[in-house]
Amino acid sequence: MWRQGEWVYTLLVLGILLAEVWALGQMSVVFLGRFFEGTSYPQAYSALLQGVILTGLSLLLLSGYILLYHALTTAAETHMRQEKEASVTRFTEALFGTAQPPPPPWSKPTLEALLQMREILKGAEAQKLQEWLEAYPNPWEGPLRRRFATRATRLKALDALAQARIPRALPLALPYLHHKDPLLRLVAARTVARSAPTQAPGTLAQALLNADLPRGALLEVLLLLEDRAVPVLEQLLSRGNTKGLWAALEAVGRLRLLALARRTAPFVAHSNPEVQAAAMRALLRLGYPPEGHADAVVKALRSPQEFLRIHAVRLLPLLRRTVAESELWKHLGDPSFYVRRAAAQALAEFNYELLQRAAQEHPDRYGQEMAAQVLRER
Amino acid sequence: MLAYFYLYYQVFVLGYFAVLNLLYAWFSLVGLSMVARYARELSELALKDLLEREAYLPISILVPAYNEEKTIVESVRSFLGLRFPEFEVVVISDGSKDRTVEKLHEAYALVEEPVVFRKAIDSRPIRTIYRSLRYPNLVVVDKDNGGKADALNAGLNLARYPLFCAVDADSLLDGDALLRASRLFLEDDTVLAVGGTIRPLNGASVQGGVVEALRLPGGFLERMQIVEYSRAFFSGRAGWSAIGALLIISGAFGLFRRQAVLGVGGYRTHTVGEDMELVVRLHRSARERKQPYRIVYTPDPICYTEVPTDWKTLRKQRNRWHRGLWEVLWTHRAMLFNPRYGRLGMVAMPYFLFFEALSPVVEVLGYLMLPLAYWLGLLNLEFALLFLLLALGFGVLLSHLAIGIETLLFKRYASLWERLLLLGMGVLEVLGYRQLLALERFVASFQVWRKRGVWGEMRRKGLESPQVRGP
Repeated sequence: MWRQGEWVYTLLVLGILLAEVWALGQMSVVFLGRFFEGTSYPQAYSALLQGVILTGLSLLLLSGYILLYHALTTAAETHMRQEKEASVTRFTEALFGTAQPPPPPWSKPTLEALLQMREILKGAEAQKLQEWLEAYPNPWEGPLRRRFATRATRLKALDALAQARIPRALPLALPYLHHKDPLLRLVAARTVARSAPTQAPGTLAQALLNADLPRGALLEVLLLLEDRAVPVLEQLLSRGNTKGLWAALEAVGRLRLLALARRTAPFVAHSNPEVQAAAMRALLRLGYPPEGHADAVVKALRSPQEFLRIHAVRLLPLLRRTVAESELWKHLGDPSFYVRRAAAQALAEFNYELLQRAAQEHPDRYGQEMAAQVLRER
Repeated sequence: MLAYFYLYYQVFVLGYFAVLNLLYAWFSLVGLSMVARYARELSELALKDLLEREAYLPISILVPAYNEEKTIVESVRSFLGLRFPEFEVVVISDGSKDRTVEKLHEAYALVEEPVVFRKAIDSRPIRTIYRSLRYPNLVVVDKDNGGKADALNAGLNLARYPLFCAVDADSLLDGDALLRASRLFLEDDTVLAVGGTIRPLNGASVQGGVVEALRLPGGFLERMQIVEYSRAFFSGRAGWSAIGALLIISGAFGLFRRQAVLGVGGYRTHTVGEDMELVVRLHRSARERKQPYRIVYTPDPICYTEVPTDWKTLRKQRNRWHRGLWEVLWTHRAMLFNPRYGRLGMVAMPYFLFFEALSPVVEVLGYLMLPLAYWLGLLNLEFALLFLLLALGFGVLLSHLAIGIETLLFKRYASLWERLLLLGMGVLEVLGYRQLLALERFVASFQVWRKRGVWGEMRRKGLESPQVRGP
């Protein structure tokens, strides 16, 4: 989407801005001088004329640049697109036929074609593409190791490495997890997650924690680990801070990692309500009862915090039947609309007859209406 | 006496002109870096990752509609086709007198549905709630007329998800718009609202509710508005967002945390600037509670909207916008020059007062002064013309800076000829068009009290390209 060349454009804009500041500044001084009769009319006139000329020149320069840029990028993009399409054809023939892949060194469009295919294909074909990428001298090493590369170049290199999913990306991307630029940290974390082998989960977990990513971004990265996530999540559950725990618990649920269900259960009794809610959400997604921690769930039902009550109510069907039924019935009369809705929805899955009965004879009018509403939606 | 007044006014105008143009140019520069950053931040790969994994926050799309029979079916189709894993579309017909609800009935097989919902904010009574049999995530609300803000409040009560997106019924969204805007909420818990870019839809080739290609429209007014919108978003909003003082998220497309909006009492009714007012109130409330927060503009989620094609509608729209601005400034006058509100109170609000709300007054007075000064023999014609040329040149320069950013970022107008035309429009804009709109805004400044809450009708053409519209 974004084209190369913003540096030239930025410099141009900066130049124009400086020229205008100078022109306007000079005009202001001269005109004020004229106001107090300190400068002559020709001086004021000349300052104004200079301003007009400078503005005119700036306009010409800017318009010319925009038109030239438009024309050049159109031509270059057309050429690149054609080369990329030709490369895709050649790689496809090499992959599924007897032809040889295009010989290195690869041009930018050829490399992009290969990365694009790597992203789309799975299984043996993906493996083959990865081998080709691994055999190729790493073109992203330079920009990532160089001290003075621009952020755009680094971002591009990290993004390409994320697509390549090659293990040697790791030593290049890991240092960027401590970069001062939060954007580079985030993109590097994505690259690490996509490229990381299952070994060294401790290092990876620690690196992710130290990266100080926002918790949503950390979750995003953990989800990218997919089937390699378990050891990293174990580490985070053992020694993560609140943010790390929240992200790890969310990831356990969203990735449906049943292997970590037992590790998740104790967090329903955590002191931080956000972590507690994340643990309850994870257990609900896994359909795993919070064995030994049912009391904490029941306690959360009495919490003044609405969101905790909602998650606890949703988890009730996983507790003992008698407890679940009585608490769900009770919470159909909760003062919160959303808790009542969660209770009715949980009952719809858990005990439909009870929900029907609630729609007829629940003592709380709002609870009755909510039960009827959820029944209508079924 | 008059001569002295003229002299002082000249000095004032010069100072005003210098500060305004320097601010604009600075915004262009800051906006450029901000736009470049955001554009680079989210690659196609990252978008794909967000979509394929459950890393998203579900969204309720709220579509207030009043007499939108010409556009509603297409716009709803566009919203239903968005690339996002979990969302609902809530269309709120605000007492439409035309066939808005009937059209939706026919197109989406609506059935009446009694719904129990929490009325967190007051709104005019709801007559009927419908759900589509074809699209279970489409809800249509038919309610008594109460204005756009009231319709949005009704929608907010019904919305199920933690984020909501307010869009106009005459708008279409880019397929990835929700995905791009919503990830900002995911990656930063302090984000309360995100505004995207609005672009004129006129001239676009639209099929099945999807914008397939943008072409410059044939009409002069529509072309002018393309330049204006580019300038407003790529320079103005980008610049304000970069310094953390974005005061406007366009009502045509904005994404908000539902809880935060409910927390400040929803949209304020009886104002025509409800979009800006909500954003200012979110800022104000967060600042007063010393809560860390962010309200940001991001250039890549794009919303296309039909812009006025005739002078009458355009003037009405600009009149309404300007009155809306005055209403917001008046409502939140306590923030002006108040250090408690940081750069909002000390920079953004004063800027909007002096350089947006009062600018048509200064501009129109300046034009009126010229013949008067000439008649009194105070005018140095050569000098005045040169100054006018400089002022107009600056105006053109700012438009061209924004067109430059558009070229680098989107290049949606693909042909070189169109690009040339756009640059040409930037020049033509200052030769009459801008002055006429300044006059309308000048008039609006004196109608704020008299026409409080008055919207005026908008003429619609319909969203589909003529060549693909059915017989």
